[in-house]
Amino acid sequence: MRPFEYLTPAGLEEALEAVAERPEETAPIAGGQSLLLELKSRERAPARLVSLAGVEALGAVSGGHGEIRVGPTVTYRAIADGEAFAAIASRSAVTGFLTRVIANIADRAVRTMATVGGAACQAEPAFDIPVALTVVDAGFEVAGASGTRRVAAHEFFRGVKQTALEQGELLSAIVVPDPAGSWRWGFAKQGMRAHDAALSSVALAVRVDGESRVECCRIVVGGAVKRPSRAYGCETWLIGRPIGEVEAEKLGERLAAEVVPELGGARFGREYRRSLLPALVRRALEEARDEG
Amino acid sequence: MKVEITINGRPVAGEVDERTLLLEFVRDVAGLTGARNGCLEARCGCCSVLLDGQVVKSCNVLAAQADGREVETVEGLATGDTTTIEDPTTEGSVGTYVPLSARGVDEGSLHPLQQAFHERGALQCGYCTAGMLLTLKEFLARVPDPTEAEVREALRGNLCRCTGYQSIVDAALLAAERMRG
Repeated sequence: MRPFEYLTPAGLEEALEAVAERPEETAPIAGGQSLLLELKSRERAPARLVSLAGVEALGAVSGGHGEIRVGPTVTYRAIADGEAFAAIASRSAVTGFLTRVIANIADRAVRTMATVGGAACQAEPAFDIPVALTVVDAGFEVAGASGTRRVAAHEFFRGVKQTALEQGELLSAIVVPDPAGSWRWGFAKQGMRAHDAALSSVALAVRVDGESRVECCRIVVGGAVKRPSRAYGCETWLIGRPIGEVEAEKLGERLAAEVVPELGGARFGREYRRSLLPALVRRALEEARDEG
Repeated sequence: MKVEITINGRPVAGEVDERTLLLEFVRDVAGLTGARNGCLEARCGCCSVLLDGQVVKSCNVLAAQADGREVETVEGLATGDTTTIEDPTTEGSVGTYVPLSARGVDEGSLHPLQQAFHERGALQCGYCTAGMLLTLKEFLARVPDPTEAEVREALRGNLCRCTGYQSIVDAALLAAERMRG
């Protein structure tokens, strides 16, 4: 690690001032689970770290009016243990979906520290948070010197470790829609070991009508691509089909044909990552059918 | 910067570089060398300690992040007197099993997990053991009556390259049974 100054602002305004003062040399730190790895390898070498741990407003969760506001410094552990969403009555079961996804990220020790906003801002293609937040169609509130703006998920995630955050801005809230109607959710990923990040992942959101036919859906692929990517062709194919009778194998074939993998290494190449997609979408579909 | 962390109930203060990891603070400032530096990238779990009762990988947390908080390490598990075993790798002791009682260790003072690890032979080189014990302590407090699959799931972030895990899982289940009473 290169030397840095460690700042501990107590409020959001103070934190924004600290970040905006010398933005190009400053990095915010929430749980630090990604940042510290980058500091140790000297991939990043900011001269100042601004800790968000003391900024209470960034760790709050609230619900109502068809949406759930999740503070960016809420930890995976607080969500996985059911604390964060305890007081939220989700009509679309989206909190249950996010809890299932987050309880299976990395391992318990990492989940103690890691935060939802930290993973979103890290924008690693292999991470589950960007994929899950895209499939739930989350909005991102971004605070800066000139006020707060809201960015949609498909605009927030720009590429590998690239987001819509400008220098001097902080993610101040993640707004998860909690829509009416019968929504079902599913997520599946494949990594090398249980606690590794995903080589490929697939998330699915489906709204069904009174006859269990798909009215509306989103299918998002992660891991193999630079940013969470919608599979619009497969979504169109799903519309109108009874959810219980969707032929998962056909959906899998279509997804593998539609997605163009952009990332791959010597050990796990693009074609390997593509080959995982049929099984992953089948599992995501099964979860959506079973869990609702 | 000045950092003060309560470790195993004892406040430890130090003037440290901002870059100091919690692992380094525990080992070099507090002098407690039970937590190990394995991979230094939050994968292997050898450095696991409890921070305010929750397990963390101390190699991936800054000491500054733990300032003013409470940490528990493997040294805090046993109650009462324990004896440090001098030089456990010297030739004289290789291949010779010596019961803990013969080494002057009061077995009754061990944490049930430590006792179960000892009885089930849940370690060979011992490098991962401190992390295993703390991960399991937090897990069993939350899930007192786990299945074998749940124990394996709880240990997904702790690597052991000696035992093949079976004896560790057995020890965890034995300790859980005893801790339920």
